[in-house]
Amino acid sequence: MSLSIRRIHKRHKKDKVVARDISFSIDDGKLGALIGPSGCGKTTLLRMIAGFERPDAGTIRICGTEVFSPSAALSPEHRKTGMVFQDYALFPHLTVLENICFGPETPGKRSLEKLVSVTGLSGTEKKYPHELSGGQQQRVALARAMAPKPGLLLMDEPFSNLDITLRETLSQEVGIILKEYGITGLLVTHNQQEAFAMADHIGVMKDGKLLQWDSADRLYYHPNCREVAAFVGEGAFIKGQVSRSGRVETEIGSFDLPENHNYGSSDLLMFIRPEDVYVHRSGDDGASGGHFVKARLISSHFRGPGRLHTFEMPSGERLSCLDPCPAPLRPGLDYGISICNPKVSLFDCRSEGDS
Amino acid sequence: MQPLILPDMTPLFKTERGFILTVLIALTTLSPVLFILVSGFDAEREIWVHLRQYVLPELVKNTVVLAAGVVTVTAVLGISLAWLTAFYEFRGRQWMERLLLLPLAIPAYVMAFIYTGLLDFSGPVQTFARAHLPGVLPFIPEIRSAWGVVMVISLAIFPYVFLMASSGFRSMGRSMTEAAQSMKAGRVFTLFHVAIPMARPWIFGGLILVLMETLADFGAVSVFNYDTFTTGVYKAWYGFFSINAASQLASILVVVVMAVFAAEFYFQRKQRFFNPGHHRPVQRIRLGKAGGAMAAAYCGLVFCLAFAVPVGQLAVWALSAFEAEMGAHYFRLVANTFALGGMGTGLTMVVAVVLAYAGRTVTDVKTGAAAKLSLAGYALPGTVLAVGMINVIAWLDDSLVSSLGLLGVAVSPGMLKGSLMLLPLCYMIRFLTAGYNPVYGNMTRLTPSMDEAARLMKVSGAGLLAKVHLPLIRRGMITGSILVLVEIIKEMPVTLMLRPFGWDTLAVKIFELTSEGEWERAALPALTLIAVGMIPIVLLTLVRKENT
Repeated sequence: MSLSIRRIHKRHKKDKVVARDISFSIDDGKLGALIGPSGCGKTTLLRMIAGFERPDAGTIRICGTEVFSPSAALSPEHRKTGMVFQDYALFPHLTVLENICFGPETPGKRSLEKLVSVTGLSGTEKKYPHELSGGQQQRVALARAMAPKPGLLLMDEPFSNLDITLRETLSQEVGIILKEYGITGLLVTHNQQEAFAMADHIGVMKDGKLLQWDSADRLYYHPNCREVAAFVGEGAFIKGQVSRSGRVETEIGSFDLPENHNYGSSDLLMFIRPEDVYVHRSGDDGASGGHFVKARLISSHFRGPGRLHTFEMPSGERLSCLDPCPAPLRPGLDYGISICNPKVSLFDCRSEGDS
Repeated sequence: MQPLILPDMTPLFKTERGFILTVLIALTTLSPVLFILVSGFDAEREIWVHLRQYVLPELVKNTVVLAAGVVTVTAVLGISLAWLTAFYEFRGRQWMERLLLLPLAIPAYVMAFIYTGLLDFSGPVQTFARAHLPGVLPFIPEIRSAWGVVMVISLAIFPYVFLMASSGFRSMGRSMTEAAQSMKAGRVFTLFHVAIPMARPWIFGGLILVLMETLADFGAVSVFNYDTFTTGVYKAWYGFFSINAASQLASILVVVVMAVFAAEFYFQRKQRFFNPGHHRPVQRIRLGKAGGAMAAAYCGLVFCLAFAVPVGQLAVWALSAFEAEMGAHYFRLVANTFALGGMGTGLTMVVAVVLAYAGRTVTDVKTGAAAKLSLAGYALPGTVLAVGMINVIAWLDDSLVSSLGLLGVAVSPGMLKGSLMLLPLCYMIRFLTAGYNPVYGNMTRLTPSMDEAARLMKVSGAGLLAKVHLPLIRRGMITGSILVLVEIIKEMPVTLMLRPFGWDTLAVKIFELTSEGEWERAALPALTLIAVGMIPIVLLTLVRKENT
């Protein structure tokens, strides 16, 4: 285990809890990501791992060394971590090469040349940061953090200052570079696409709490609470009730309950992704039997692959539908819609955060 | 064995350190003002009655006339020159933009004695007119008048308004004037209804600087024997030997200056709102032959009156007295001046760097307010600052004597008075802003994450200071030191009132010589001051060039 975090807790003054009993770990050579809305505590968690902030309780181990416990803490420079800062923190008075070789632990000539060429910085060695583009500055920050061969690379919103197209290509490229060097890393971002593109494991945080630590597809298809479902990807909640026959009855049909559920009440919320909603165009009305309801089309717009519709059901609840067929529908008319995925996510109506 | 850090750092001092340091600096720089305000409240009745009956009415009248006159004249000069150079293209415009800043190198008290010497009854102009053109005589204005002081001070400080109005006009960009023209507004209409209103925060900012300088002026009005509050304070202290009377007069001036200071703060905030960011500069309209010649002639005339003629006259006087003046006593003056300047600059820059560091990581409102108050000293007239400092020292002396007395140590009172440390302290209070602003400007490039990045690469403490901090703030420290040094060298009233025996400086000597009408003998020291004063202006124009 390259990074192992056990029961980290931190409270800022004014009683705001920024880390609530957080535990997770990252295996050697893997890349983890923390996502969540701004102010959820993800950057504070990263800074606690680096050693710039102090947890109130818990332990942190990096590469087998305990770097923090409530009785003793290792100072940041001895934690074998490297960091890519949100503002890059490049030294403006030093050239690219001087930035990379800033510390006493500079790599040898060979590995330095390799690092410079892998990060795509060949030819810029003698330039100053202000002479570089944003993407190039980002590369320098990455190369500089990797130069001392850290056991753990921390990245705080590394792509947030770049424009969208550059952000996508660079995040993929950085993922490849880190894999090539076998670097264990932790990325903090508010952009889930970035996390999906780079990370092996992703943690969703809200209000200082780590809601779920899982792979990208499990986060998407098996969110463990309403907050994760709502934050990752798109979708809508509709009301449902557990019937005597042990099924969930909703306006759009009835569904099986998961086998080992322990819902506290009979009122449930069902989470439906747009791609799971099926539109019955004229001709195949009633084809899929029970799971079927007439809903009014509120709006519809083109979405590259297909169209995104918003429907309002008779109860007033709304669903969005990602329709692969590019042919437009007419807003204001009623259409039949149904759910084509029997394994929908269900959540308790009252309490938050359990499944 | 891995090095460990302590499990618990002292969080209070760590988070509040910046605030505590800033408050300590603010208390130091504000102490003279606080003491003056206190002494103003517990006024001695007899002195107060005397002052109110015989002294105050004239001081108030003179000060108001002077301030109103200087503000009006500098507004007309500054705005008209800025308007010509910002919106029109003519022969010599680029030169004029830079040359018109040079008058700032001439201290107002130097400008005053030059024009007095030139236009006085025994001066070259009247002598020439009496001999050759007697018909002109009635038209030569009497220089020793309110009109004379206003003109002389205005010529010395109008560049503040010129500089600020130019920034204001430049900040507005091409689209504004083009929008006005597209709606068929004429040039004059555009000037009064678009350009001046939009540049108002800058123009008012410049005028407030002018107002502060005018209220603070002591040397120029002394040359003219024109009594204002600053000379009143000086005479009360020097003539009546009454520190109380001086403090009471000073307290009135302090209240006025505080109001002006608050107004300046207001307009500085407004400048931020009005600045719409990046845009293309105004396209200058090329003037025709006659118009261009007139514009160039106007700019040239102002430049001649405010710089060329005074410096030329000084050169003539300096040459005629060169052999008598160039000697050991001149070098002694220069040595004194630079010794005091060096000490003052050293202290000022140490405080400026500490203050900039204190405000670096803490961004809360209370630290910002304390920092702003620390810098308020530049608004203080020198005579007021000196009287305030005398009050502070008297109090410190008393408490030192009594507390040491309690410990059984007998000290003679007055040990702090006349100490050489007083002057650098006063210079620090008055010129901290000049040293702080460039350092602070560079400090904003030094983000907290740079410290953290360096630390992760095992560079901290002295190494961090040497490899990152110093290289980044060095330019600011050099610029700040030059600005502070030049200001101290030109400073006169504080040095005059607080210098220890035998510490005459160039500025003090000029004052003493001119109060005896020895224009020729004052010329060489004055030329030296002007040469030194041109350094920051040259720096300033270079910076402007980089920006455009």
